[in-house]
Formats: sequence, structure tokens, C-alpha cells
Amino acid sequence: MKPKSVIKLFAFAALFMFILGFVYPTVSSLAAEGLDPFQANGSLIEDNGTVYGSYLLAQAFNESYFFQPRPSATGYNYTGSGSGPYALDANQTLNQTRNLINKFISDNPTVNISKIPYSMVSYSGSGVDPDIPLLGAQDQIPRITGSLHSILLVSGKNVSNSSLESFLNKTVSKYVVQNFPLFGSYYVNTVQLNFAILNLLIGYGAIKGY
Amino acid sequence: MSYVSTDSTGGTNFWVSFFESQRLVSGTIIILIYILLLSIFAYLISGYIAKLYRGEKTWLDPISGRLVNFFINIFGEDAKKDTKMREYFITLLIFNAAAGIFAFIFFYFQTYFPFAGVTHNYSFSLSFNTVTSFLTNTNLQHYSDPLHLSYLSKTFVLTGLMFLAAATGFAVSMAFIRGILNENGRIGNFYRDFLVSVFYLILPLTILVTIIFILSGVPQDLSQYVNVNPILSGGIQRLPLGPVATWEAIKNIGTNGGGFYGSNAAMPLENPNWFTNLVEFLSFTVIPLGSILSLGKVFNNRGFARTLYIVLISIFFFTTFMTFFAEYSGIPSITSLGTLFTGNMMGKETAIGISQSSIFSSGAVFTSTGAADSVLLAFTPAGLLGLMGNLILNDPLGGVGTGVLNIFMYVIFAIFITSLMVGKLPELMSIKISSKEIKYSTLSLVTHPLLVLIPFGITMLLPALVIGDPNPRPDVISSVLYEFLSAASNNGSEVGGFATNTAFFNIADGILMLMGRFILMGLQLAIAQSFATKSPKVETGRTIETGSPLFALMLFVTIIMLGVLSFFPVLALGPFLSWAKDFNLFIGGLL
Repeated sequence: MKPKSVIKLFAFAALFMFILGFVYPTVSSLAAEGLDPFQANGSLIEDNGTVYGSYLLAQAFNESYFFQPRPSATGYNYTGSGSGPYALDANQTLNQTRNLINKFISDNPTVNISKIPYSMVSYSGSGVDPDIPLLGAQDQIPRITGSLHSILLVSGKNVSNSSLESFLNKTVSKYVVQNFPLFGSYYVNTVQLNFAILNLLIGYGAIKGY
Repeated sequence: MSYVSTDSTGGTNFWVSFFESQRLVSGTIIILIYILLLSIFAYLISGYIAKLYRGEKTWLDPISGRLVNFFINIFGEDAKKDTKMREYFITLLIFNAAAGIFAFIFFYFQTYFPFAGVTHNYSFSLSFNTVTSFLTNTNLQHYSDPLHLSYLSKTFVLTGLMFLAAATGFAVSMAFIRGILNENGRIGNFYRDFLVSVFYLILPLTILVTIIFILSGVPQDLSQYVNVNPILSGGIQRLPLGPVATWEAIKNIGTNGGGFYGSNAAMPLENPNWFTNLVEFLSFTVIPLGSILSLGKVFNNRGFARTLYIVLISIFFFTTFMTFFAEYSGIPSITSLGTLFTGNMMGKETAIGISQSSIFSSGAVFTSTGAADSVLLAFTPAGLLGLMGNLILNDPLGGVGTGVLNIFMYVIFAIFITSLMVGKLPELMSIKISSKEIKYSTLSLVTHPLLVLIPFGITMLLPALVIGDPNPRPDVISSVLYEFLSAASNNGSEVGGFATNTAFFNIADGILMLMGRFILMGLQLAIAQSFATKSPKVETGRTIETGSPLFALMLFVTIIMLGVLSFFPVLALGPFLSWAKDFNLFIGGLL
């Protein structure tokens, strides 16, 4: 092949890497930001310029009045990935699962083990799965009710357990979705649920802000 | 075990609670819906692809045709002349080498280029591995953290290579088909085929899918990351963002499969819900299956396309349901713990679930995509075996374009064997198959097992390479085998477990990927060249009817036998052994 043809091929490759690789994504980004800024930026939850998370990503939610997301092998790190270094049939996985079950039961003592969905005691694939099965949310309602009741008492508001419980049930049924039309299983997004709880607490003046 | 007590739809409907409680039934239905939708969309696009293969007019001519001609005029005579296989292949190789060199420079020295936004440089072996894997349509993810990729690495290098690899694959399939159709000894022009692939097929579909993804919540912006203050906690976290939707679109349309985020399509930002999962699945399977179906129209032989469809879909059914049933059942040590077990959710996302994770993973290895919306390391042994069943066959449906080539290798081989058995003339589309074509197709069929088993054997002899893997021995064997299978078949999915980002695996995989891609392409183009000099004869009735059920059966058996015979011993040491151990299938404490 002639040297001139080789140079042309190099130019051809560089040109198309530039057009398809660089120009196309960049132009799409600019267009997307004009089109739909909320979703184009990753469904971020923003308040006064501070980003508190994304509706698509779980956080640790280290308070007992929050719905706990699925356990994370990466500590809910946005840049980590995976469900840990162990295969499903490794002994370490078995021990991990036992520990996670014990933790779930000690956090939610009213729950019988046969009512704990396996998802709630197994690591998610991304480490930031925000969604839990409907039953996994219902399991946590008694604990959250008690927790909310006591934190509201501390700030001088005596809200009855039953009204808190019905608030939680209503919130859960408001956000429940299916992971395939008609045939899917039901799940809820813990970020949405926990923001509803936060707003309730802020409404009662129990906490100041996010 | 129904638990739809606060069901939003009322909760009393019998069918609603039936589908909710009978997960095996619902999962099966979901998988069937996926396969049905795939078949419909592939059929719809097959007529269009057939027009591209035959070089006929399409409705995109006013836009795409002008763009193609514009670039052909820029590059002059080189882009116009009708070439033979030798020149076509050399052009392709130089083009890919050029792209690889540019990519390597921009990737390895990423911090020295404009708008880097990062201070991190990748090692030589990792850069080599990443560039070769994106160049060969493999897309292993030994790199993992998007925060370490500069804007140019993400766009110019990796997105650019994803487009180039897909368009190269489709161009080769166009040349191959032209070889069968032509009689003048020429197979076309690489520039032209590449431009047609880009502007008529890959770019339009990518734009369509990008729009769908952006509307479904996949981010698309110019920032490197955003600082997030998790609620009621002190530590600030960086959330990597960037052109995710365009990346996802070409990742799937081009059957590339390398994720923007480390956890690939399991990351909710890449794949937020069932709808995006379905769109991703369809977008990486529709061109490969559509190309196969288009062969019926290209060669005016519907029976042939039907045969291929039936054979391929049966393999897909078998492997998908094997994976799904295995994932649904779990393994005894976990199911006996007493939780409410509705499938092995370890490493899977709630919004996607067991059945959709199974069909997605299975589709990703059935084509050469290798995307994953779940963690393969956490699959059950039988589930992993279902996936490997596709990999040992060198991804039956293949990638964009390469699927057509791979299936023809099997078809030529099967025609030859069947003709020998029943004493007929070996002919493909009424063109006589001579010893040359048999030689090349056999070579290309044995290349895959050789590329996998030799490095696998070497790795097994050097235990230091996988010493860090904490898992049981059979699982380690499965992971190593999977790693090489995935590299050699240009798939790109990974099990992991052991540290894959080491100089040995980076370099070994890189070489395997280059050989697995370009040796095969060379052999396949050589067959095309050989066909291009022959003219079809009048049907004599003394040949095998490629549309007949007998031939379908023979093709199926040939494909399965070749794969199983090559790989059964190692499969026995890996996934079969794990499976048997997990279910205590050994009699009398054999192990």
C-alpha cells in the first residue's frame, strides 16, 4: 500500500474518532441540558445549590427512622462497584449472609425470619441500589414508627403511633412500583421514602434541614 | 407467600396476586416477552439491513447518502475503487491500527491533553488492555472508576473506538455477503462500507436510543463529577457524571458492552428501571439478529434465514432458561437460611429482578456485547454455566456484523459434513464449496478453542496468578476460563474474583482479543474472496436444502458438538464441579 494511502487512513480514523467519539457526545450533552436538565444531570436532589443525593442512588441513611436500603459491599460508594470478592458458594458469603440476617432481625425485632426478603440481606450489584422489595419496606415500618415517635417526643410533639404508622403505610403505597408491567415484583425507592420522612420531621420542626 | 397487602391496584385481583406470588411463572412470561419483542424488532429491521447488504435505495438516502458521498469525495480514489480481499483487509487493519495508536496515546497520556479533569494516569498494561478491548468490540473493564477517566478518554478514545469497532464489524459482513453475491472477484471498498455502516445503521440507531435513555433518566452532561452531601452525614462524596446516555447507546447498539460505571448496567444511573433494561437488551440484540434474518431477503432464500433463526433461538432459549431457573432456585446453603427466597438477588438490582437480569446477561453473551446488569461472580454455578454455554460457541449471534460471519463458518462446516453423510454436493447458495473454504472455516472454528485453552492451561500451571482469589477452587477455574472465553470471543463480560488488572491478564487478554478478532476476520474475508470468483450454478437438486428441518437439526448438532467437545473437560472442572458440590451430588463423599 502506498504511503499516501496509509496517511489517508490515519486521517480517516482520527476524523471519525473525533466526529463520533467527541463531537456526538458533546453536542448531545449540550442538547440534553437544554431539553431536560433534571434527568440529564442524574436525577439529583438539590436544595439551595447543595446536592443531597440522587433519586437513583442509595445512601447509608444512618438513622433508625429511615428506611434502610439493601446492604452494600462498597459502603454506598458511588465509584465502587460489585457485590464483593466472594462467589455465591464461598463460605465467606454464607457467613456474611448470616450476619446480615442477624443484623436485620436485631434492627427489626418484630420481624419473623421467613418474612425477610433475601434481597434485604444480600449485597446489590451496584452497591447503591436504592430500591427494596415492598415487603422489605413493610418489615421496617414498626421500627420506624417507634423511632419517629420518640424523636418527635424529644422535640415536644406527641404524635400517636397509629397516625405515624398510617403515614408510613400511605407513603409506601404512594411510591410502590412494579419492575415489569403486570408480571413484575413490587418495590419501593428508599430515597423517595426517606425524603418523605425528612419532610415530615422538618414539618414538625424536629430537625432543621437536610 | 403473597405479600401485596398495600397493593396500589387494590390487591384483591386474583391474577395480580397470582403473578406476584408465582415468581417462576411471571419470570418465564417476562423472558418470553423479551424474546418475542426481540424477534419482532429484528424482523422489522431485517428488510432495511437486507437493502444495505444488497446496496439498494433506502429512505435514509437523502441524509445518509449525502454524508457518505461527501466523505468518499474527500478521500478520493482510495474510497472509490472496488478492491479484492487482500487490499480490503490491509485497509481495515491499517485503519484499526491507526485508531488503536491514537487511542493509546490519548489514553496513556490522558493528563497531558486538554480538559483532562483528572490527575490519574493508567499503567502501560492497563492502557494496552483497555485500548485493545475497545478496539476489538470486547470491552473488558479492567479500568473501573469513571473518576479516573479524562473527558477525552471517555469520549474521543472510548466512545470513538466503540463506534469504530461496531462499524468495522458491519463493514466486514457487507464485504462477506458481497463476496457470495459477486462474481467479479471483488468484495468492495472498506471506506465505503464503513461509512455506510456508520451513517445508515449505527449512528441513526444510536441517536434514537440516546434520546430514549435521556428521557428515561440516564444522565448526559459535560461535568466530570458532582459533589454530593449525603443526608445527615458529614462526608462529601463525588458522584461521577458525564456523557452517560450517548455512551450507553453506542455501548449497546454497537454490541460493545463496556460500562461507563464500574458496575456496568447494574448501576442505576446506567440502567434505572425495567424499561431501560428492555431497551438495552433490544438494542444490543436487534442488529445481530436482524442481520441474520436479513440473509433470507439478501439471498432470496427465506428457508435459510428461518433455519438460522430457529437454530439460534433454540440455543438462546436453552441457555437463558438454564440461567433463569438456576438463579431462581439459588443454592441450598443460602436457601436453607430461612429467609423469603424468591431468587438469587445477590449482586442483582431490585428494579430489574431475577428474570430480567438473567435474560439480559444471557443476551449479552449470546451476542458479543458482554454488558452486565448484575454481578456474574454472584451467579449460581448452573447460572454461570448457562452463560458460558454461549461463550464456548464464540457468541452464537455474534456482534454487529461479526455474527453473520460466525454463523456462516458453522453453516459451511455443517453443509460439508451433511453432504458427506448423505452423499450430495456441498454447495452454499448454489456456489460449490471447495477444499479452500472448508480449510478456512475449519481453521476459524478451531481458532476460538485454541485461543482460550492454551492460555487457560498456562494460567492453571502458574497458581501464583490467581492466588489472591478467596473462592473455592472450582469457582476460580470458572472465573479464569470465563476471562479467557470472554476475551477470545470478543465478548467482554467478566466474572472476576481474582485480580484481573495485573500485567499478566492485561497483556494476555489484549493479545487474545486482537487474535480472536482479526485472525477470524482475515479467514472469513479469505472465504469471501474465494466465493467472489465463483458464479452460482443452476439448482440441480443434488445439494442439501439449507431451509430444510434436516439441515436445521444438523446445524444445531454441529454447533453444540463443536463447543461441547472442545470445552467439556474444563467445564467439568469448573462450573459442573461447583454445581455438584453445592447440591451435594457426590455419592459416598467422593470429594
